[in-house]
Amino acid sequence: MGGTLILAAAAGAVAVLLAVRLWVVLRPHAAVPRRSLSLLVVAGSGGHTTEILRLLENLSDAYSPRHYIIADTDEMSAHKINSFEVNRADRNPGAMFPEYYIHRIPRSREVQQSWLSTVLTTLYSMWLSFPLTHRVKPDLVLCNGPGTCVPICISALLLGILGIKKVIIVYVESICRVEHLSLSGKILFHLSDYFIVQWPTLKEKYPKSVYLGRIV
Amino acid sequence: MLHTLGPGPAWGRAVVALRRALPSTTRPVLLGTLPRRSGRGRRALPPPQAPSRPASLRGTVSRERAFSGLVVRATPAVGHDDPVPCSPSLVCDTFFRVFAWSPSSCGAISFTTYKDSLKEDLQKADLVISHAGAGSCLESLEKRKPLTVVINEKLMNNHQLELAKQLHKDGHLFYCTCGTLPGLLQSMDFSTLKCFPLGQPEKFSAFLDKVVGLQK
Repeated sequence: MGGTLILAAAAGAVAVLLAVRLWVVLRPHAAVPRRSLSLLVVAGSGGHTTEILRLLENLSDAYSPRHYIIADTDEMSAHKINSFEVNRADRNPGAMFPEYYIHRIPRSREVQQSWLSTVLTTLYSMWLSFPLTHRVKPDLVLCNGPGTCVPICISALLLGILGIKKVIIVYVESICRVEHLSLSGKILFHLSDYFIVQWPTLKEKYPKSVYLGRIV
Repeated sequence: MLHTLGPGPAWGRAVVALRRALPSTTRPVLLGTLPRRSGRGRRALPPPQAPSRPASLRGTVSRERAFSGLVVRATPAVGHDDPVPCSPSLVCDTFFRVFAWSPSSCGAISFTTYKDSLKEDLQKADLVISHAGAGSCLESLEKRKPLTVVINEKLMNNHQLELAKQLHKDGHLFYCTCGTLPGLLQSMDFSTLKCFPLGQPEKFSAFLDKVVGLQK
């Protein structure tokens, strides 16, 4: 009886501590001046990868090294990323050899997958995402909505909560989302540092989001 | 039962990229190409003109022929377990069955697999028929091509429909389902479509540089 109470109290204390740490990590921070930063990009299948590579086209070489995370069954995205990096290097011959890496994790959710099994596969993805995110320790995580991004962003958040590293999480909602956020968007709206939407209707519904116009 | 498209605009060959718009038994991407059109500008798209027919087809073209040629591109859907044989005959059979088109209405048919880029095919196209994925829509619209999108009704929350509806509302494309495509091809008027303004990824990179504290 006494042991159960102590256990419950300990669990409660840990939960409170985690909640406080989460609040500390999520509140706005002043930008730390820097000359370069490592970038972790979550590329989902098909259109997600195409869109996120469009966003990366204009980024300077200061965003290096670039780590790409794709689903383990997604060969097309790997191909697109390699082409993108080769084209980028060709356009900028004076720059150093492109430093980029492609990592693979299991999908969080397949198209038409049931919600219950999605919870289980997402937990499994989390189990694998945290060691990967911990190893990479990026300065910035960039994603645009595939299910793969939720475990990665939560892992990045955990790095901050555990005091290992503060990672900036930037979420750009896909241009497909005109009136409603995606499921990933609804989850990460509360957990990201900057949440960017591309249609004014979403900006009206979510005033705390950032609207820059159409950026892809 | 197959039927020809009937008297209507003679398009030449159509660009058809229907990723996952077809039933789950095949999930291919189909692609056709059109002869090059001359003259592009930032104004409303001109009405279609009858293209010249290849020498091999002269004398055999009937009033019902809608395309002088069709290039079919097919790839298996990424990350799904159904085995997709993706043979040329299976893909073409599915294509003609789903859209209730006669093979004789499509002229010479050729078959290709995945390409790095559709740029060349889009450049030569007079008409693009695509799934409503963001990347496909953006690529076609940026090339100032008349675009019709086919909605995949199986996607979660059908975000493709959201984007298609908004772009149609803004006057940039037409949209339909597999069943309504033949009817739309006969009735649509491309002179009503408006040019699509380009996105501004430089706004995103400027915003990101600022929030991460990147010094020039």
